[in-house]
Amino acid sequence: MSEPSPAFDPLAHMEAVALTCGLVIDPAHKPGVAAFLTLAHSMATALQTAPLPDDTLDPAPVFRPDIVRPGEA
Amino acid sequence: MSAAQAALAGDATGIAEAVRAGILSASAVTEAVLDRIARLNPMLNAFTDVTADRARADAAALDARLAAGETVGPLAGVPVAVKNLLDVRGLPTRAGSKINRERPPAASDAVLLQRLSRAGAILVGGLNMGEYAYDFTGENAHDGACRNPHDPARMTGGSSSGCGAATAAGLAPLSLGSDTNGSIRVPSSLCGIFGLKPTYGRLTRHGSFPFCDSLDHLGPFARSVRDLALVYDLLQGPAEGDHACAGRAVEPTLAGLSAGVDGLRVAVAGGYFARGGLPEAHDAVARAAAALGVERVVDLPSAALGRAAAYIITNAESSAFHLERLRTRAGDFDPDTRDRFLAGVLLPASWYIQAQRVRRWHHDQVLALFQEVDVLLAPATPCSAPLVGQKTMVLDGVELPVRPHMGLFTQPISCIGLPVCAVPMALPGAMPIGVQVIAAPWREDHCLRVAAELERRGVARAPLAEPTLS
Repeated sequence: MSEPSPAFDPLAHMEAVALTCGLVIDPAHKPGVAAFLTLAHSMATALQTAPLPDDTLDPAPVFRPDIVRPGEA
Repeated sequence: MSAAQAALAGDATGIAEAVRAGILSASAVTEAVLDRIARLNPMLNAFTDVTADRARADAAALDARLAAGETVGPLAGVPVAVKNLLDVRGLPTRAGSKINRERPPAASDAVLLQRLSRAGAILVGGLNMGEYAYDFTGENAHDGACRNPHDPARMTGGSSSGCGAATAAGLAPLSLGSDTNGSIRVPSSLCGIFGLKPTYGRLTRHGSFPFCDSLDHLGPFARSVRDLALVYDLLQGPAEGDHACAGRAVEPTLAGLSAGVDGLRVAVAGGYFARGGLPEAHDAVARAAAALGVERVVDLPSAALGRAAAYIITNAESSAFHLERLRTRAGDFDPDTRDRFLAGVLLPASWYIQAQRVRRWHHDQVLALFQEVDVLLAPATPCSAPLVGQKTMVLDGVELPVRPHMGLFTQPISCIGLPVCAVPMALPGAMPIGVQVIAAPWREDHCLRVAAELERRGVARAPLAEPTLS
């Protein structure tokens, strides 16, 4: 996994990804979205410093294939 | 003041004992609490729905059962209210949003509410909350800010804002809320009451509107530890409909409260938890430790990364869940949640997967610590209640936005699903502030024993708030 770019540009990221997600972001909302993207980027950058082994993939959630919710069987 | 009104100044256990003994009728208690809601809710904005007709009918039915000599449950006649993300039969489950109130009325109550009703509790309404639970302030653009009953100019904290206000002010001696990153513990701290966030998977979430599946918990609020233990014991047990519910058998805690803290290895969480808050936050922990004779301090070096993992997981999961609503109705979101949800849609999958990997690692680090200790004490919030409308606060010399940072100390704990009791530690005359009493998974009994000991020693207390507009 590559590290998030240190030169993260939240507006460029927003423009690139929003349309892919089918999301049209009102120009008035963009400064707020950019601020939260920047905060998320700082969190994601910190997470790259965790001393995780590079040969295991052990995310927290564990899927249990034997559970069916009522009404979905 | 009537006997029923006086009873509301006490706790739920006291009310139920009086009703079961025939000293008070459930109807009298219900009328007293409806009167109190009518008087104080215009100031506090804790309730979004008051279910008066249902409450009166349920109370009358309970009184009829008592008159017929039937045995009634341990919450007989106790008024309860629920955060409006829990289903209440006949009401749309608005989850703090404008959009959701267009949903059809819920066909049945949330499972946890059903369990309280079976024990004799009387539902009096649905409670205000931050939109879709993405909130630490108690502000809501659609329903208005919920106000702190100890000072209505100040925040309740969120997102279970109405729970904090209603239980602190005696409008609902017991309430049910949710906690994904701190939404039980933050309002408990700022409103000066007890709150329990159980172990992830302990209590079923069936019949509640989701926020972030990986981190969502439900739990109770109360003004005494015996109330908290009583209601928690009644809420436990297996249930269908929540894939995360572990289905554990009931493990009662109430009878063990008197055991004190003998044999429990209690330590103060240092490092990350010893800095970053205002003096009142760290002083509350110091007073709790002193009362218990605790001198040991342990570090949780993975806490900061645990918080970062919780942030990314919450942002990504919740936003993906709301994607269609964001595509079509972004203008109908609360402006204070909308931009964070929009940002969350755009996070790379690699960030989310890394966050889930770090969550596992953080979990393993902290569980190793619980080989050496049984209970950790930590701040609940970095400060007492900010003013309603306050957007930033200064922590450690840095100006930070209030909304995402009130969970500084709660997020690393809920990230890994540990049980936590929020314990009110306010000094007389000061605004409330709480501490977190944290235990290993499935050891809610340890949290509650320590909380009970702090209450017994008089350092933890949740006096009834009698709000007045200043």
